[in-house]
Amino acid sequence: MASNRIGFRQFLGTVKQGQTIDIIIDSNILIAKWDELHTNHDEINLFLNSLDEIANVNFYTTVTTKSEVLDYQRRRLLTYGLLSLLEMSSLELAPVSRAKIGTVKGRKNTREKHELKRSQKEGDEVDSHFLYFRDSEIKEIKKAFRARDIQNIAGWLTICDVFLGKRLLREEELIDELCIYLSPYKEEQFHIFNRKVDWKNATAISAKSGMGFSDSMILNMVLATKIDYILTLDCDLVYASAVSAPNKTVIIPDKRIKQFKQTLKRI
Amino acid sequence: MKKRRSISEISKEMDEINRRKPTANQIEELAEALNKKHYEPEVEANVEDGFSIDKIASSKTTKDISGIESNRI
Repeated sequence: MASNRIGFRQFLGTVKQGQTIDIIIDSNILIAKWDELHTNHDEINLFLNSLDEIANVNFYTTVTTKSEVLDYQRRRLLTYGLLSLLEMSSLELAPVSRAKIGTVKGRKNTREKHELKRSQKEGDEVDSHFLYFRDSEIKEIKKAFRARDIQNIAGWLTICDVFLGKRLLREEELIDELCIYLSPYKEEQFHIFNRKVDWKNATAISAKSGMGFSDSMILNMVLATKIDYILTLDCDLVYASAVSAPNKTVIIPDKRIKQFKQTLKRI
Repeated sequence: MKKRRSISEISKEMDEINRRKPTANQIEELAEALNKKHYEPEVEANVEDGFSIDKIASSKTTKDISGIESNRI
């Protein structure tokens, strides 16, 4: 298998002052960058800030990546918001609504404990998804806030307005400021693409290595461009690019390179 | 090349949004919309057991002779 991966430290060593670099950035990098509870937060922070200081970096991505980041942020902001309702002394929530948040909070805390135990036992990182309510749980709570008559339906909408509203919209603007969305139809990006993007190829990539569809869509897009680098936390993407895109280089944290080598040894 | 602020500046604003707490006005709005004297939650019994009426109904959707869909519980 081609060695198409490089660690953060080694990559930074190759970058020259003022150099222009095009990189495709994966959703997990943005998630880790903006969630301080994420295990890789400090490492990603240091790497991205250092890279940005040295070079002129164009962070390319896809709209699928943007939706993944925003969805993570939606779950995170709603989790904090809903949990804070239990602490607000001026609120007299209906018992059913209070009980539902309490039940879901209990489930989340149990998951969190199990994940912590697992990570300690296996010497692995904590998956930050366990820190927040699942989408199905948010829907459960939403039902407990649905009003019986239409005049008073504003309950859930007020929760969304306070905890998501303008925040999520501004977060989208910030992602838009940082990233450039790859599109073979934009004239200003014609020079980046070396062939047409055929979505059937994404299916073929997924079928070949069994990787998730959103990642195979990224990989398919990368293959149609002249961009050499993909920045990710996902060893699965390293594996799939070694199989389907050996001429591209995957930049991952140094620690993950070691983990990936251990995984390969086990195969 | 697209013009943007540095990634640390963008992230600083992102962190500020993530840490933001509701204002006094927003807490008042929440109280007005959520306090139990103002509203009654829907289908209490079904919410408690985590299984809503519409979930049962949608799984039992059938068509009658005229081809119109009906929900049987």
